[in-house]
Amino acid sequence: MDAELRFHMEACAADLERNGVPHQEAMRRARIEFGAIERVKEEGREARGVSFLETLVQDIRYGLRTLRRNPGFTAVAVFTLGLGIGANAAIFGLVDSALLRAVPFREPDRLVHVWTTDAEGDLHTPSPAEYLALLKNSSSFEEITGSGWADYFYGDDESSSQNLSGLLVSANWLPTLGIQPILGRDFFEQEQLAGRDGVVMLSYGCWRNRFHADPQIGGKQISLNRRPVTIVGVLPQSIAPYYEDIEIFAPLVLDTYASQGKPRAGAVRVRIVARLKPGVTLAQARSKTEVIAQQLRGPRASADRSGHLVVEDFTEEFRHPGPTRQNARRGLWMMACAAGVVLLIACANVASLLTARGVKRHREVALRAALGCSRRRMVRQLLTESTLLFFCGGTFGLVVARWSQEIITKAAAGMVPNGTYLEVDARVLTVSLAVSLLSALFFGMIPALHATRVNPNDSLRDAALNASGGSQSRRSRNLLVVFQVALGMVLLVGFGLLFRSLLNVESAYLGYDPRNVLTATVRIPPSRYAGAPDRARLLREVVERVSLVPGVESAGITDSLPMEGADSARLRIEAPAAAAAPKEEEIWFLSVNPEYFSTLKVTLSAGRPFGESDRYDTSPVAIVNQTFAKQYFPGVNPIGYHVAFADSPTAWREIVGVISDFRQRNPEEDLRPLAYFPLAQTLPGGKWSMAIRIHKSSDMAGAARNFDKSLQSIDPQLYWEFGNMQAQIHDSESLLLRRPIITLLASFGGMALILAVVGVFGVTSYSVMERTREIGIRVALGAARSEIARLVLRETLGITLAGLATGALGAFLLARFLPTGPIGWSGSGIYLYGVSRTDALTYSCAAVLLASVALLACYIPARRAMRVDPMVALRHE
Amino acid sequence: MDKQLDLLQGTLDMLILKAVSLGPLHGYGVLLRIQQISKARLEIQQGSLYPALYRLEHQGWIASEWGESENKRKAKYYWLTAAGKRRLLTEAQKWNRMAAVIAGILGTKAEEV
Repeated sequence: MDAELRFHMEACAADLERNGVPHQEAMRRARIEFGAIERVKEEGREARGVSFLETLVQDIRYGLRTLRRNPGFTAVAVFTLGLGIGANAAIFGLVDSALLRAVPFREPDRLVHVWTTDAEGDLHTPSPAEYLALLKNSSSFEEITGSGWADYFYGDDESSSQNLSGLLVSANWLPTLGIQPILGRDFFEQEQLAGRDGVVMLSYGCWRNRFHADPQIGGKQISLNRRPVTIVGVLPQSIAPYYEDIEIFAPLVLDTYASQGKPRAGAVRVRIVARLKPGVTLAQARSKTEVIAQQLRGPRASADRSGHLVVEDFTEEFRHPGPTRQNARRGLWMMACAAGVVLLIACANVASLLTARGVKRHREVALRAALGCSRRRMVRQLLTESTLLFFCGGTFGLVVARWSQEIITKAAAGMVPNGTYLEVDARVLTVSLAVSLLSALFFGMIPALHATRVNPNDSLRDAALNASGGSQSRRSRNLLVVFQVALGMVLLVGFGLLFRSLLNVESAYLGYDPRNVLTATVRIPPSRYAGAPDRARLLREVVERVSLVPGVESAGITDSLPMEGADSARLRIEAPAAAAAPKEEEIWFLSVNPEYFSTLKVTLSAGRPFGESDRYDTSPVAIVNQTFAKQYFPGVNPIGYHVAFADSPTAWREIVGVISDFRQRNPEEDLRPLAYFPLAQTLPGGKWSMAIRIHKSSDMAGAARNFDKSLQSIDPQLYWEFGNMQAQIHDSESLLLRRPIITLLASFGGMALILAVVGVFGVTSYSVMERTREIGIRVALGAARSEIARLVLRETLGITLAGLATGALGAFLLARFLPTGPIGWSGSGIYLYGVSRTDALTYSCAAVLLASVALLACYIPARRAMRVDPMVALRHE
Repeated sequence: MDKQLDLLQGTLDMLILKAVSLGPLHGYGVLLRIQQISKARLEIQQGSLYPALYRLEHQGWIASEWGESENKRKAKYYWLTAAGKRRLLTEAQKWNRMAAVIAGILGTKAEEV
């Protein structure tokens, strides 16, 4: 602008000079003719419109000043918003980590799984032979990787036996997935040979939890399965959700895999992940792979549907998540809703505080309006102010989330897949700030519109008017509190229903007596006790030693304790009708010793228990549970019929007894058919667990110490882990899944209650303050103090009841979305158990809790109202 | 009619639009053009010219760009936008109607009432 005006003046002067006026004089005349330059500039600036940014800076400065001048209000608002936004930031972080983050693998579209089929055409993990055939003959794949499973014992001193899951991978596994170790190196090709495979990579979680995230870990020697191995690398956290429990990654050595790996479904299996060559479609790969499968099957083709190789999209698995991820989705979805509710309550709270404050600022607004400030401008300024407030709240919330990220990650563990963690990163930051901004605009608009609805003439003339404060703003404030109470009610009802479900699960009827039962678990290394006679001798010795320990009533041995689930296999079941063919079903089976059932105090409903006479060299027998009997032998006594493994070794086992049902996996699951075989006949390798019933009078801890000694002396190289049956239930999958959501919902419910107190307190206080004059008049006219208190209480109670009624209705509608069934086959998950969606007790408890909190919150304002001195109140104006 | 007339309230904008409609001009040029067309019969406050220009630019009726003046100096040139053209047309029509009405009223004789 300066340049332009200068040009004008010089051009003007130049014209004058051309007419013969001297330069100096010409400039002077030009200036005179132009008039007051500064005023022109000023008007010019105004005409051009003041820049958006300039006003913004002005508003922000003014807003900050106002906020600083009301530290109490600012603190309450920032704290409230911090809770709301912090809760959302935390939950978003978890959701992001568990569900949203993109697949960490390079070009996942080209990655495929190769499965084999069984006789029914169901998909299974392929055999090593199929893996090798594919490696040799396939032309559709750029890379073919194999992986297998293994169990590891970690540590070499006897105090710290720990069991780790491992994945055995081929050397091209990581490059094929497109993953780089975050520390150290990948495996070399030659490390896939027997004898040179003494190297491992650690999962991120293992590195962090067991090795304290030691950055110098590369090259360190540790002892796995009593064998020294070298740690060469650490894998990134991004793959943790896809390889949940795996802590150790070791080279896959096919020659020794059979003896070192963990067989799946009774056979050694290799999981195949391959990368398609560029340009090769899934269909092409399928048909070529099928040719290889045909060669492998040989002439026995077309007899059944087994032995086909099926190529499947790798990402398919993530689109159809398993129970853990489904449950995580369920839980996180509920958490997100709860966090959203907390945020809404917080926002409503701040909005009502702002509205109340707007009444106080009545005169300021009226004055500005009278001085010609447009309403739009004022709304904009008030909005800037509330946005500032929300941003402060958002920042505080992020600090809270950052500070509590460890706690929340820990609290959510069990509900979300392992490797899910809360980290306040750029994504969380962005989302939180966006949430702050949106809620600021929406919830800031209400008070801003109210505050600026002013007739300057009235307000300025009649100072008394600000005392009765505009019934409209009071109505909207009350509505906001109703909204808060209603949301609080919804949250509490949701929490209550799930909490009652948890209590019901905890006290569910199990079918066995878990009290006074110790457990001891041992894992038998594959290298030792390889023969059945060795394991039979070990079994005999263990039982003998344990029964000698004082205080022991009886000791049962099994391969899977209750709440651990069990192995399953296809069982052939003799049909009760004479002509019918035997059925084949996937059935859970357990191996138990003769004392197992009596130790758990489970009764036999028919037949005989296992006895000492059922040894591995006598004819095989079985016991089934009542559900099994009902399902496969309806109306028939199953005793005397037979079952057998469908796969070899197939030997018919005579059913000699029927045992009462008890829960094998989860306290709340549906009962399922189970088959039991004598441990002395199956003699499984791997894991054995003992259930040891102690005399009621004996000391459990002392008994546990004695066991340690006597069991250790059988074989000092076996590590026994001790526990007890009640801890077993406490750590059952269903309780592990349910507890986190209860903890988190409880904290959200707590927040909602605190916010309700703040909201009710704030609104009642303002209302009392506004009505000071009215109360003064009432007192002066002879109203009793109790009547004044009733006046205040009645208003609060009205608001609260309206809120509770709305909330109950909302909760009733929303409860329909709460799941009532488990996820898939797992029998567990977060769902309502033993409680109806309209559970009266939950609703009334929530209502009573909220109502009492609300009444408590208006105690102080009510007292203040009772103490109003009519003289002071009336002179006040 | 040699005496200069003061500008009627609200007509400056219209005159500026007209002036720049004849071709791009810098601020001083606008002043000269109006004086030239009106044969120096209109008195324009130089101080009020620039706020008016900025206002018109803010409303999107004229646009501006820095260019070079006839004596090789940097100057800001203004020209009419499409919206400005429409605006000028309606303003001119309004003015003409108004002038006609006023003239009609002023020309009324007693016997015509």
